[in-house]
Parts: sequence; C-alpha cells; structure tokens
Amino acid sequence: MKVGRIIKVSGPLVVAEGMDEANVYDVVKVSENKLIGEIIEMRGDKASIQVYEETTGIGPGEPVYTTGEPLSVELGPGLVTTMFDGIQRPLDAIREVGGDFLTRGIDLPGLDREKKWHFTPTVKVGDEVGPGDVIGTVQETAVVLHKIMVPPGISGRVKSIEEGEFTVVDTVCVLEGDQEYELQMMQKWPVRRGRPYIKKLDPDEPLITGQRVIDTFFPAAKGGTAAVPGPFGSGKTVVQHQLAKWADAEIIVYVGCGERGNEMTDVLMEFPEIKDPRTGESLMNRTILIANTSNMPVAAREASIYTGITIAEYFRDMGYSVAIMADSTSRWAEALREMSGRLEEMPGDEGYPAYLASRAAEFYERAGKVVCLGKDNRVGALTVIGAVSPPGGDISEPVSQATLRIVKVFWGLDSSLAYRRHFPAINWLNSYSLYQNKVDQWMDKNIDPEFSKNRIKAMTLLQEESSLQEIVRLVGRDSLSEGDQLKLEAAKSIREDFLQQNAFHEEDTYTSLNKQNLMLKMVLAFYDEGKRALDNGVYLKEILDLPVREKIARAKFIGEDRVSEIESIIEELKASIDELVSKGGILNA
Amino acid sequence: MIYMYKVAVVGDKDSILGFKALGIDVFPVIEKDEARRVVDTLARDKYGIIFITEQTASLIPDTIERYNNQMLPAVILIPSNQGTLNIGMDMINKNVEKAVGTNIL
Amino acid sequence: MLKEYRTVTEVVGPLMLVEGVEGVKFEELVEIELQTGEIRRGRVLEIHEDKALVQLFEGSAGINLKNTKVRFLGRPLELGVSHDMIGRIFDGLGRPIDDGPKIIPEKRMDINGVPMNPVARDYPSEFIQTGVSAIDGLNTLVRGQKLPIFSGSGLPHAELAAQIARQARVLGEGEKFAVVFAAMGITFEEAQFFMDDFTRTGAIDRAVLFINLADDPAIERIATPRMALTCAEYLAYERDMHVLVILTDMTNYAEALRETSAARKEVPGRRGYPGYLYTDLATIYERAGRIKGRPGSITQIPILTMPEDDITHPIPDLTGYITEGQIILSRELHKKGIEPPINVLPSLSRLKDKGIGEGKTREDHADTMNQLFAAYATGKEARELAVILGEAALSDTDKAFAKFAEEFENRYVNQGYNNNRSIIETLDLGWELLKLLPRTELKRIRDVFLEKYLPLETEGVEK
Repeated sequence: MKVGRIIKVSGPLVVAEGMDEANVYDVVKVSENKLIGEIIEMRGDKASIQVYEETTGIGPGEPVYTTGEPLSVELGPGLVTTMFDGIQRPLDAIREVGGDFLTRGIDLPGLDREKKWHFTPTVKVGDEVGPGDVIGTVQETAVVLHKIMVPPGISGRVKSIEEGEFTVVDTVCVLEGDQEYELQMMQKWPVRRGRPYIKKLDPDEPLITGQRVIDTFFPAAKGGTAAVPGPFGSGKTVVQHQLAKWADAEIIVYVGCGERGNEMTDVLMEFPEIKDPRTGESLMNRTILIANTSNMPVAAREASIYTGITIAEYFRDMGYSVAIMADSTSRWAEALREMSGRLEEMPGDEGYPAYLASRAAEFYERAGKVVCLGKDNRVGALTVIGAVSPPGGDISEPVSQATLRIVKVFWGLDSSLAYRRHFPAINWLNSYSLYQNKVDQWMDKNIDPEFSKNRIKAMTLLQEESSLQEIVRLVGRDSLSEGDQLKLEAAKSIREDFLQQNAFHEEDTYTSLNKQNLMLKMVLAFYDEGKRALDNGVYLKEILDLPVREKIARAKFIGEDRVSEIESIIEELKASIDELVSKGGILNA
Repeated sequence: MIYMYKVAVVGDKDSILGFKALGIDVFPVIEKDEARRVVDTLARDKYGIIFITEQTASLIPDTIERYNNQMLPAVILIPSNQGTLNIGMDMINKNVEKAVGTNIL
Repeated sequence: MLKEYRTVTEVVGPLMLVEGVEGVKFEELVEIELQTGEIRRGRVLEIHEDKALVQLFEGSAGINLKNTKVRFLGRPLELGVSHDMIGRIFDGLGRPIDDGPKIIPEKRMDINGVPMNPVARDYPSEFIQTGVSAIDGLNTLVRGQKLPIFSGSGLPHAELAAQIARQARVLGEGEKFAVVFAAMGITFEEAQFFMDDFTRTGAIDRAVLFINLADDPAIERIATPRMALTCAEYLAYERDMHVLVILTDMTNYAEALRETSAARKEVPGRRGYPGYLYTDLATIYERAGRIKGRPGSITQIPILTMPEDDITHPIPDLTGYITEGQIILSRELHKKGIEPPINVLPSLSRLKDKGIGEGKTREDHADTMNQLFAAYATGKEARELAVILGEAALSDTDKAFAKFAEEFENRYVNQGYNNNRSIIETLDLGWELLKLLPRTELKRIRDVFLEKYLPLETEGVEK
C-alpha cells in the first residue's frame, strides 16, 4: 500500500499527505518508530491522524504506513485478569519488553500468541452452525468458561473439529459450505462498531451490588445504564471500585480512563486478594482492566472506552451478565475536546465538540439486555456505569448534561456529605433510578413482599427530615414537637445505620439483599415503635436512651451468616418499648 | 366558641389545698411516678396552665423540660409552704436569656 | 554543523514562527541567537510543512525579525543530571545560579519524562511522619503520594511547606532522603524564606532548588516543574533516594500555560485556561510514585493559591481530580492565629488508610482519626448553632462538643511551625482531647481501644 508523508505535527495530531488509498478510521503506523495512530478525517489526500503515543521527535517528511484495517480488538481466551492500555496492548507484557516506563513504538498483540488453552468442542462434525453458535469452550479462569463462538457473518457445516491444547491462532474448527472457513479461537472486531445481537430486551432484574443505598434506594438494572457524577473527593472512584468488586455480574470490565495511576495499581493489588462471595474465587478471575492513566497519551484515552465496551460486548454475546465501569467519562470527553480543538473544528459549549452528546449516547446505547446471536437464544446483559467528573462539582456542564440525558440511573455524589464523612456520599434527595418500578416488582417477588413499601416509607422519612431540618436551622430543634423530633431521630438512624456503609470494613463492605431488607425493617421499626410509645405517653428522651439503639447502630457489622440476629434486635426493640409503655404510659395509668 | 382552658395545681397537699378556694383544680401528689403521670394526664386533658410546686418539680425534671418546649400547657413553678428552691426563678431567667439574648432581669 | 535560519517571520507574545525549515521535529529544543549575541531557548510547538511554531522560554523582547538566528538542536529540552546537584541552586531552566562550579552531567534526560507503566507501579503504603498533627493524625501522607496544599494569597503555605520539608521522615529507617524544590513565579522574599530556612536547618545539604522568580520570564515556568521532576526521577530511580518534591506555586504555572494557549489562539476551556490543562497538570503530578523493585520514591507536595479562595476554580479543581487528596488552609483559622491554619474537615489524604494502623503507626489510629473528624464536625456545628441561638440553646452534649472543637483547634491543629510532634504524641493528644466528650459519644472507636487507651477512671466530663 502507498506510503504517506507527514506534513504537520501538533501534539497528538499528525497530518499526512498522499493518503488517498486509506479509509477513515483506518489504523496507521506513523514514522519509522511505528507509532500507532488512527485516521479521523480525510480531506483530499490529506489524512488527519490521532496518534496513540507521544509524538515528540516526529517531524514533517517522515513516512506514514496504512494497515487498511480499522482499530480492532482481539477477542478470545486470555482477556480475563489482564490489564491492557487504551488500544489493547497488554501492559505487563509491555513492561517485560520496555521496562518500567512506557516507551514508544512497542507493538504487541492483545492476546498472547504462545499460550495454549484446552479447547473442548461442543459441536460434532456434520453439525450446521451459524453466527454466534458456540462451537466449543475453554476454561479461561476458575470462574470464567470462555465460549468460542462462530464470528458474525460466517456459517456452514462443521467439517472437522477437535479437542486439545491450542493457541488462540491455531485452527480449531473448519466449516464447509459455500465457502470453507478455518475458525480460530481468536476473532477480531472493530471497536467503534457495536457487536450484533438478535434483539434487545427490557432490563427488569436488578444488578445487585451489595451497596445498601444503591440496591435499596437507587437500583441499577442488568443491562441498564448508570452515571456517578461528583466533584473530587466525593468518593467516585471508591463507588466504582465497590461496584467492580461486588456487583453480581459474571464479567467486570474496568476502564481507568484518564485517572490516577495509583488507582489502577490499587485494583491490581487488591482484587486478587478479595474473594467473590458467590463463587469463593478471587475477584480478579472475572475482571478485565483497561488503563489509560492521566499521563498516558491523550488520544488513546478516547479509544480506551471503546476498547473496553467491545470486550464487554464479546462476553455478553456468550450469554453472560457483564458490567463495565468507565472512570471517568469526563476525561474521555476532554480527549475528544482536545482532538477537536487541534482539528480546528467549530467548538460547542465550553469548547467541547458539537458531537459530544451524540458520541456519549452512542456509547451508552451499547448497553442492554439482549438475545444473543446463536441458535440457543441465550440472553446476555451489558450494564454500563460511567463516572463523570464535573468541574467544580457543577453538573450543569456539558459532559454531565449529555450523560444525564441518556442514563437511567443517577447517583449524585455530594461533597458536603463527604466532608461529613458520610460514605458512600450519594445524595438521597437528588439521585434517582428509572428502573425503580421494575426492580420493585422483582424485589417484592424475590426478597420480601413488603420491600417496596418499606423503601418508600424510609424515603418519605428522609424527605421529611430535610424540610424539618430547615425549621431546625431557623428556630432550633427544641421548638419541634416530640413527634417531629422522633422523625428526625429515625431519619438520622436511616442515614447513619443504613445508608452509611464503610467500604473498608470486612463485613460492612458488602450487604446481601436479605440483610438489607432486615436492616431496613429494623430502622423503620425504631420509628414505628417509637411513635407507638410516644402516643402512649412515653417521653422521647426515654426512647432515645434505649440501650437497644446501640445494637441497631452496630447491626451493619453483623456477619452475613448471622443475619437472624437482626430479627432478634427488632424483637428486643419491641420488648423494650412495651416495657416503657407499661411503665410510663398514660393510657395504662 | 372559644375553647376555655382549665387551670390546675400540682404538689403536696398542704401547699396546694388553698388553691381550691380560687376554683382551681388541685392534684395532690407525693412521689415521682405519680407526679409525672398526673402532669402528663393534665396536659392531655387540655389544661392550659399547670402550677406545680418547686419541690414536686424537682422530682420530675424531664417532664418539666418536655412541656417547656411546648406552647401549652404552661407549666409554672411556684414555691411551696416550705419556702422556695429558686428553680422557678432560674427557669424564668433562662427563658428570658433565650428570648432576648441577654439577661435583662 | 547545525543549520542556522534567519527566517523568523512572526513574533507574537511568547511564540515565534520560523519559515523554510527542514527536518524539524515536534518538541525539539531551539536556540535563538539575538543580534546582541544573547542566546535564548525555546521549543517546537507545532510544525506545518516548512513552518515551525516555536515557544520562547525567555520571552520575545528584543527579538529582531531580520537579524535573529535560529538553530534547531535535534533533541528535546533536556536536563543534565548528576548526584552533585544536591545542595545546589538552579534557575528555572536548570542553569546554576549559586556561583558554584558547573555541573558535569552523568546523563541527559528529557524533561518531559515518560509515563510510568501502571503495572510497574508499587502502591504507596509507607507512612511519612511530617511532625504536623493535622497531617499525620488525620490526613496521613505516604511515600509516593501527591498531596497538594490548597492555599490562598496571604496564607502561610510557605511556612507549612518548609516545616514539612524540614521534619518529614520515615519511621525507624536511615534511608537516603532528598528534597527537590521548584519555585515558579514566586517573589524574591518567598524564595529567600525557603533558602534561609533550608540553610538554617541544614536541609540545604540534601536539597536541590530550581528557582523561577516572579520577574523571571513567565514561559520558563512551563519547564521548571519538569526540570525539578526530572532531577527527582534521577535521584529516586537511579540513586535510590526518597525524594520529596515541593512545587510552588502551581497557579503561576497554569497562568503561563494560559498565556501560551491564548497566543496560539486556541479555543479556551473554563476561565480561559486551555482545554488540555487537566492532561498537562497530570503529566506533572503523575510523576510521583514508586516502582516495584526499586528502592527510591517520589512524593509530591504541590502548592497552589486558590484565586479568591475559590476551590471550584479550574486550577484547584483539576488538581484535586489528579492528586491523592488535598490539604486546605483556612483564612478563618489563620485570622484566629492557628498555626498552621489547616482546615481539617475538607482536607483529605486518599492514601491514608494504607499508611496507618498496626505496624505502621499504631493500632488505634484509624478509629481515633474517624472519631476526631466526626467530633470536630459535630462540635463546629454546635458552635455555629450557638452563634445563632445563643449558648443557652445547646444541650450539655452539644456544649461538650463545642468545647472539644475549640480545644481541638487550639491544641491539636495549632502547634506552631517549629514544633515537631511524633506520631505517638499526636495520637495521645487525640485521646486527651476525646476525654472532653462523654464516653458514650465515642461510637466510632472499638471497645478494645476505648478500654486500652481511655480507662474508665480517667474519664472526663460526666453528664
């Protein structure tokens, strides 16, 4: 293919002439260093290229080679547990080749070509297979059974297939028909195109995260979309990490997009140590990491979330429930802005390109619960959770607004809560979940028929608290009636004993739905019973001084295997209220 | 029709019996639990003013505190036949301080 | 022989356009010789065909389009590094200004550095004792962390930074330690304060100083922090030293960046700062860290003054998104005479949990830290309430909390700039203050520690 020639270098943007044979979005190799880039615009024979590596030392006159292929990822065994950079180069392999710092021009394939995997066929010679059909499996990690599927657009009759140890590029199966196909375990897919499926379904099952404020009050659905906006220091990354740790998805793809290097290290060090409560295996065994830290080349940041979601879609196609966390989409938007500025496009709001909203929408739309390709009609789900970092915490800025228009769940982080050390600092007054109704039905059916009723009751108390707080601020707490003061106490109990959750405490970090349900009942019982006592003439002070309150406060630390203790706390609460009533109540006087 | 509030006086029998002559309902009490129950019941029965002797009030500070923060009933401390303990005056001082910001008495 | 061009066609602000050039590379270092013989330096920002856009580090004053000679040196801006740099003072572009001998470089390093492979990073977890209670006790600094000080104009951030530089040490080790100090656009007095302080305390013997003063060329500031970090990287990763890098003032750095951006007529982001401010700051801050298998480390304390004390201003805002926490100074505390005036509540060290606890500081550290935070927050609220409603409106517990908040500020935070407290002293002081509160209110401390560190008979105010 024709070799182009660089005529302009401006940061990560390189313009080359003589590129008339190349296509938009083709991958190119820039200069003799073979830096990887992607064509983002063509004008005549001039191509604008965003380069995924540092362009220091590149100048006009140097060659540009086209590969004729769009930016793609390699999909096959070897993805799980690996950390990739924004264009799917394995970072640990890069370290072996290039040392502790990221040197340029290292060209490594996404998947290890040497490693052998044990392939077990699930079809026989003579079977008719089509796109998406599973032809065999590989046990990739202790918990991930990697299904080898026929790539989209290919079908035929199995001519030969065999069990054994193969690398990802060995032929494991041959199909015959109109044309003969040799299938390998690895397939490629361009990152900017969503992988095909048969149809989308309505997400109705909650993504259980073990985080009380999320599961109980603002649930996400499997196959849904959620956004976590928040200023710095409000715990966005902790929330994302908690979701990556505890969400009940079979595969987690974590994209560290323009964030701190140490955070990725944290994930790398911590995840292998944590046991998944469902499988008992290390969490790393279901996790794929994509890292483009804030000091890595900015153009690769733009690609990183596409790389992540394409890998996620691939596992969804196997019929798994997959969740992808992107931390943070604001950095991705900034990368778009930087490239747009260098292309001298007409800027929109705050310098962001006019197509920001449509790009964001395209990305989130790749989420969904779908019927996958293949004869067995398996169902897979891809949940997308994006963090947003609005400047100054002000969500009226373009990235937050573009995101909020699309996502169905909004977990608004609040710095004033974080200052008070209320974590997770999700503001219960302005967060919402549009999956609430569907999830309520699911919860009432599967957890407790009272669940949604209790949730609404607790939320009402919290709402009432905020209006009462305004009065308190003006005239002091004493001027409230005892009934209202009890309400404040009950709301405080909901906040402190239910909503606050310590991500670093071994028992508190994850709460099963069953325990959440009991805890919710417990904090509400305090209000109901307290009200009963007040009605019967018991003094508020006596209710507040009950020793059982200490137990309520510590209930979150009760282990999952002893949740019945919470029921006994409720019993104890009732008994002590009975005692108060019989002692001091007027009606019994 | 305007609702007419009633007036009560609570305390040891010797101190309060004289109030009966004024047409005020008197509720003699001796010990703590009894006093508390009586005051609570009176509050419920729409008594607008409850006079209570300082001696009796000193037994049930929680109850006094409770009604302090409510508009009605007005719980007013009075000395008993054994003299004053000064807590009634203290409370007035405190309330004045709270209302005006400084003690002007 | 390098080609010399006399084809400067345009000079605008800190930028210069040279035409008809050949073989020029992006980010290349440029030498400009004025008609007077003066040599200035610059770097290539953009090349389009035969036109090169050059950023001048030392300003454009006096450049003559006709007679100025331009040479492209074929390498990026580099710093010659050597172990002998310790104890020396340099200007913002790395040239010695202390009358000492020339540095003979052991090697030359690109000042832009190379991003660290995330896989190679080692997670920071070693406690650094700064001797400042509000930091050690509540916002603990660990090795390899980047923890900025958010200050305002007129606040004593310099004193605090000098105190940290003087006192910082790692418990129980005699490892090699160095301070790299980069001043960007600060006044002569401020720079002199640091130099005097370093000289007085002997810290100068283990320090490298890069000084760009307020009257030095603004654009030079873009290179200064990178010079400092390049030197730090050399000392940390090749000389196995633990390096503390102090960068002051990042606000001046960002303004210099804005100046260049404006001269290039780029589309501005918020408040006129370029859209890539985040990425640019990240290339500085992310150079802090540790590498697996190498003994050295780089810990960064950037200082920035928040314009109008506004934390949502782009500079503190974007910094906060990159750094691992922040130490915030408060004007209110400063006026009260609290030294250092650290506003504990909004300050945060994200890595503190990894650096504290048994074997690192003391077992009770995490619990007392949470308790002190919570109690101080409650106490402050109570105090605010008292201002509105009067002291009389407070309950006894609230009064205890208000008293606690007062004492906490006066004794815990207010320690003076010359007081070096060990972590044990800090923790014990914490317990002493907690005695002011009813025992039942100490909900965040595990019972074992309550019994061990606060035995019943020493209990403070009773209800």
